[in-house]
Amino acid sequence: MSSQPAKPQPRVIVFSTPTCGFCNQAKAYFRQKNVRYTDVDVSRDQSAARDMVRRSGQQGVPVIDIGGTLVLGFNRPKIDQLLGLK
Amino acid sequence: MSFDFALSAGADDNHYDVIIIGGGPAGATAAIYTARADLKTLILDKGLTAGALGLTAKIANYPGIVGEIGGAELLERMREQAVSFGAKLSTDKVQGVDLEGEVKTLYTNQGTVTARAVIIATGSMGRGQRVAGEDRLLGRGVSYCATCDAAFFRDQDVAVAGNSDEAVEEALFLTRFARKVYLLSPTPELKAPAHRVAEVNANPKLDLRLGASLREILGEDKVEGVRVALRGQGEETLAVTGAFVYLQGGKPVTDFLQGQLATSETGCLMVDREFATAVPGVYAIGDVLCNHIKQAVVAAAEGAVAGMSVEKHLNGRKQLVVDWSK
Repeated sequence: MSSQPAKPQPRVIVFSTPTCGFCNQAKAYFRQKNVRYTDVDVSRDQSAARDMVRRSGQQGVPVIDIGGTLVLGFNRPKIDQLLGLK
Repeated sequence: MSFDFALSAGADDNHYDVIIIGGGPAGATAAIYTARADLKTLILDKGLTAGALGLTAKIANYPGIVGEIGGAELLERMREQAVSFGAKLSTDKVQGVDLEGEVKTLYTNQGTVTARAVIIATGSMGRGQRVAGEDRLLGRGVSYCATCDAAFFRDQDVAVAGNSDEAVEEALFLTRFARKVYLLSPTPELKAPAHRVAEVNANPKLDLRLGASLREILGEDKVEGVRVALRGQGEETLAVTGAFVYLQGGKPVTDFLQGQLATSETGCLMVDREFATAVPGVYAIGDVLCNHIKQAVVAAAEGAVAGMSVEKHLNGRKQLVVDWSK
């Protein structure tokens, strides 16, 4: 494992479906950067899907919750900024 | 909720010497050459009628084929030839890529695959202009991936715009979730294989509208309807909460690259004389280059050269090798 971030890592939740390429890309990116995340499969968890739509207004995945801030899609610059990644 | 730290990328079954994105005449021919050179080859293709040759009714000037042949049939023969040499053909759509480094990663609807080399042969039937409301409502009911987002439309009415077998597949997939799926074909008939059209006609949740052009996606904060022009019958508005768009146009298909390869001002990929892009191990062929005559035989020829270029690159040769016959 490479070096840990200096500050505690914010909680990361990836709202995804198994058949979503961008979701897999985002999760692979987190693994590559040693970012711990929780994966929520909204195709199986309907209440999580409703919660995601209510909070984000989005009906598409991925939606990524980083410490309470929602990132829509696999927006790498935004993710890097929120997690302090380079 | 569950933690997921599984590493799917890199597993042997999903790792290839070369992955070819697009199974048209360029991609299929490249696969014939790479598979015959004993390279583990995967072709990823959206569907037989997702590209220009598959949609061509008759072709009469392809060398060696005397008389007329349907474009889809010619393409099937090319693919069968590639498969006969060991290539694997998968109906799938690439959503994103990571092309840097020695191992290239491709994120598709069905999972993640990796390769030492990638050939981009995605053609030039990408969309240019969007319809009104589409960009504004993207992610708020507008989607380009039913397999990703269908779960959000459980028991709702949705519309699918398109006539290719990709559009048909996605519409059929949506019927598992949605209450009703309008399939809006801009042409008077679907450009999909007969058995797929039969499935559409037999599915009680599917409402097929032929000659129906998507004009506008309606709604303030989320999709509330679509405005559709019907050939010779004026317009109508359908109340839907989802709009899935699979329309085709005349632009090179490069959106899945997310800017990882440089393009010309007109959006075309750029290559050297061996069809290598600026990123080592990544090649591009066929209509996605859009700098030549759009003919199947030209695309196939480019596929042959690129197939040999990949073999040279992966085996560290200095020169192209033409004949692998034993």
